[in-house]
Amino acid sequence: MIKQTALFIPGNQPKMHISADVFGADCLIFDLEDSVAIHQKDSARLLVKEMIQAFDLSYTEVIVRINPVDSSFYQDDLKEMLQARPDALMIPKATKAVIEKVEADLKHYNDIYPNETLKLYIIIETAMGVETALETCLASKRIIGVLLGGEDLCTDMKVTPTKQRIELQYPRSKIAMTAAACNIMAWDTPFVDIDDHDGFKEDALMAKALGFGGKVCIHPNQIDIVKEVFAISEKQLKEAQEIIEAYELAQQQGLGAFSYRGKMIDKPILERAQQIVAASSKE
Amino acid sequence: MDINKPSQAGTLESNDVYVQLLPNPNGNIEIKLKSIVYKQFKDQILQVANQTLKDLQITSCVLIMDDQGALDHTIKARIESAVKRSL
Repeated sequence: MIKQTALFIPGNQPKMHISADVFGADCLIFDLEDSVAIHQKDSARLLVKEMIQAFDLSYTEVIVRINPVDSSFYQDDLKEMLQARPDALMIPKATKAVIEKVEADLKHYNDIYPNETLKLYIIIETAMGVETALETCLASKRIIGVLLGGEDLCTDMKVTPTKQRIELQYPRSKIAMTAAACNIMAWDTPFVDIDDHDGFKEDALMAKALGFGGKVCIHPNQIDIVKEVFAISEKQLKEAQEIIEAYELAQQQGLGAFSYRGKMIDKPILERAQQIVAASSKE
Repeated sequence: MDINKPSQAGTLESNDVYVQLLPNPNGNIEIKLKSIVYKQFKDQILQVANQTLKDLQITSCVLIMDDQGALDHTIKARIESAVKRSL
């Protein structure tokens, strides 16, 4: 399944829930955390639970961002969402210890609320989280994706976010690399200036260049931009197909190494071409 | 189960319903409904409200609903939220 776009939807706003399907996001993240006021946390989780149970959401991946494990809302969020049965939970402020706690709780509830197929996405959004990202991503086999939480990270680092995102250069590289090492999805941090479409596109291009597989959106008008940026271009696909054809011809001629347009093609380049063709067939 | 204290849930935003729950000295369930789609969906809304209260084992209350076109699942969620807040 292609997961380039994931749209955050505030958990306590019914009008956003019922129009979620028209936006075309690959994944929907129903949010019980930052977009919900403290005195509405109880109401939001019930609304999200009822919504997931009432609607056919099989066209997308349904994810719920619950409240942090050390918050007073976590246990109730977990119990209600285990009844709702989304495809995945998104765990904020993730560390190895946090994921181990979630795993233990899921195991504890499994007899009452079977949850063996429930997946996890984690949000790395603290300095310690960035530095220990590898052990966190490996903490559970349920983890299928990691999101960089840039705004919270800047707060933790006590830096002011810049338009060029200089402060996120290292964290972004680290998270993309960690995700690749663990063979899980990497989503880049949200871009909060929802009216700056050019800035958002530049940001998404940077994320793609660093190795992220997609980007989280906080407004529907960001979705098409992400799809455009992360789509495989016709030129890329044509080049990949030609490299594979050149390889097959070289094989027939009994040649090990071969060249394509003056460049020597070795195994990594060939594999990359094969990945592009495979990914294109899924789009 | 009776309602012990007043509570409310929901908002007056589009596709939501604002519900208020009050103890009922008469000992039965009384629903007061105002809706932007009253003519078309009054019966459906009341049916969902009554069923939700029944599922939550509420036998006595005054339920005041100001509906802005909420779907069934929203009505159910908001009533459940108000009930839990009133206990």
